[in-house]
Amino acid sequence: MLALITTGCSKNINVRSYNAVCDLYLEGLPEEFKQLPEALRNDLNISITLRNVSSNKKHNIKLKAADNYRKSVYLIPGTYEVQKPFLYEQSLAMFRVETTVTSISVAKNSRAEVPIKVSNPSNFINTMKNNQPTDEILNADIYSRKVQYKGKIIDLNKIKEVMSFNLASNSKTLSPSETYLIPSSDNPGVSIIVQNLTSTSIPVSKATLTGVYFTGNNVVLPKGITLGSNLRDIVHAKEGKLGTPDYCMGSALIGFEIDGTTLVYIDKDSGDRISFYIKLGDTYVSSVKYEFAKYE
Amino acid sequence: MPSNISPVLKILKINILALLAFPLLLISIASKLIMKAFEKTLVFMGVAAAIFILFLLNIIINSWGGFFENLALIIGLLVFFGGIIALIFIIPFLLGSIALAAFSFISIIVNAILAILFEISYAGYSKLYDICKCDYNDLSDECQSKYPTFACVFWHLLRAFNFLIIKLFSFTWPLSIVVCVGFIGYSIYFVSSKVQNTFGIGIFAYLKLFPLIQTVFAVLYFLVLVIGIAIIILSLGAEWSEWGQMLSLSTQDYDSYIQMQLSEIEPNFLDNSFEEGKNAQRCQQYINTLEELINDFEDLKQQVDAAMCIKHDPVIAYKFSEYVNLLNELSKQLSSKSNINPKIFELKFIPQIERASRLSKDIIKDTLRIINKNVSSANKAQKVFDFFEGCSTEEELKKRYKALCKVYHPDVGGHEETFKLLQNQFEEKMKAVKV
Repeated sequence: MLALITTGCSKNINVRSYNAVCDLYLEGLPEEFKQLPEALRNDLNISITLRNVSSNKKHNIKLKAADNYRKSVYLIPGTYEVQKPFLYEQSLAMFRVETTVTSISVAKNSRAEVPIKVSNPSNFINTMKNNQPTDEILNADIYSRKVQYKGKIIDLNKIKEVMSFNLASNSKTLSPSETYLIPSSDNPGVSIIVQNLTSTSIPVSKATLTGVYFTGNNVVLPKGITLGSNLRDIVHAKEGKLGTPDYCMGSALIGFEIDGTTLVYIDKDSGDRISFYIKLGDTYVSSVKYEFAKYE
Repeated sequence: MPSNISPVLKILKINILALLAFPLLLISIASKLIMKAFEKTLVFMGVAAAIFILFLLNIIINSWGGFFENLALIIGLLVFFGGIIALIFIIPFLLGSIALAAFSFISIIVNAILAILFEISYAGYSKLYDICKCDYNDLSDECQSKYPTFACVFWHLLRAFNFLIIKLFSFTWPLSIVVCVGFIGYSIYFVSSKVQNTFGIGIFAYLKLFPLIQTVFAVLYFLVLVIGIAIIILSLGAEWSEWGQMLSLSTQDYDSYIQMQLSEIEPNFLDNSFEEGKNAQRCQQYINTLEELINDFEDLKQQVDAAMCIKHDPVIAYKFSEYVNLLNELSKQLSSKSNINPKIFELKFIPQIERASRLSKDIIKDTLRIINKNVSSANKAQKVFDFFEGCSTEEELKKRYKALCKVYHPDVGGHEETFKLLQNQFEEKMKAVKV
């Protein structure tokens, strides 16, 4: 009776008895992967689904960085459709994953393999190289309005000259004081913040640039801060790159699944404001907003 | 049967029965613990609901304007698509009610199955334990050497396991307090050290970085979660400890049931009035039932005493202790209330009074079974059954006589000849004692 209560009435199949195994692993992961901050690396999990063609039963498998992206699963013998792998935190990972295997047949007492590859690993290596902070950015002041983007130092005031934002084709009209976020058309993960500082409604193209918002991991801020940087490396009072924030918003319980947290730093001289956003459950920076106090 | 074979068979019997008792004990413990944990579902749901309400409040307060903007939109939509929206709300409400009913039904079924499982396995275990104990004592008396008793390996193992379980459960209440204090202390240390490690500042300096309302919410989240878990640990500790005492009573220390008394009852609680309502009359009937149970308690205790004097029955001891605890709990809860809402009484107290009533009937049935069985087996063997076995003083004899009169007196449905036998035996014994 106890067995009935705990396991139900269905026939209990011991999948391991078939000894039909499928090995899933990630190959071609460049050495540069280790240069990513540890907290971010631990969050870069790969999810892949195997669907049994006859029973339609789905097996969702998670490959973790901590297990070197390798996992063996016991399956009931049969044919399985391999669905596209998915990488978590893609915008911060700077690489994509794919597999050429679309279907596998698993027989009793045998092993099948599903290798997953890093798509275009050279791209990832180049990005990582570009993300190596130069001396100039390491020594720059955090409020200098300078960032290293794809290996080049850019001035945030002149970001519209370096990247395209489709301002002219945007038909949006802003009412007085309204702000608007415009993503870059050629550099995903970068957006500009514009605001209507006039007293009448104006088109987006005539609004004033008031800040830049980074959600993709091609940017290095002064002192070598990147997206994915561990919170402690930035905010620790003695050892952090920026020290204690001026104020915080959102949930005070960082790392819990309650709400995200924003840590804000304000320049006493210029009034510029930098906000680091930490998503709920995470302990690393997932986006950065630089807001100007004085507009050019 | 040769006399040297008999101890061997006895050893075999003790070991086999002890081995059989093991799974029964495990099943009874597992089912009891699951039942107790299952009863805590409401506490779990309460903690989850408190966190959810805090979460909602947090959203509302954080985006005050946005929330009311959305609320205005919802009201607008409700007015505009009144019928459709109402339908959309009614369907989830109906589905929700069905889900709630299904959950209640499942919880009743699971609890009933667990209760049956516990009753059967525990009664089986107690009986086997009792048989093993009696046989082991006989074996010890029969054999001059101690070696045969060492051969009862499984009996010794069972006894040790039983002892360990009782000790463990007896300590669950103080243990749960220690665990709670440790848990609360560790939670505070964990959060504080995490902040110190990440931010390099103290917890209060860290909280000052946030707006006051966010600080309040963070503290509330923390308190609700920690206190909720602490309440669950404490309540489980208290209930498991109670069960540990009962287990001890039925296997280790039969005679302790004698010390079980009804606690002081507030004189006025049975006169409590019910707020006006449809079910006030029904509730009053149950209060009367409870009053009868309390009034008859001393009689029941004497009957149990009579049966237990003839034969130590672990199941009766267990049921009786459960009954006393239930009556004490009921009178304690009801004494604290002056005016009871019939709805609350129906939900909370009627099931408990019904259970007490059932237990009382079961105990009476069991005690009569034991006494009658012993009387008839003595008659079959053409022997005179000794109603006063073990009584040596005048006081003990009177007490036993009074208890047995309540079962065997013709006025309460007893057999006349048996009662005469009882009377004669009492008079003879009294004379002998006085001499």
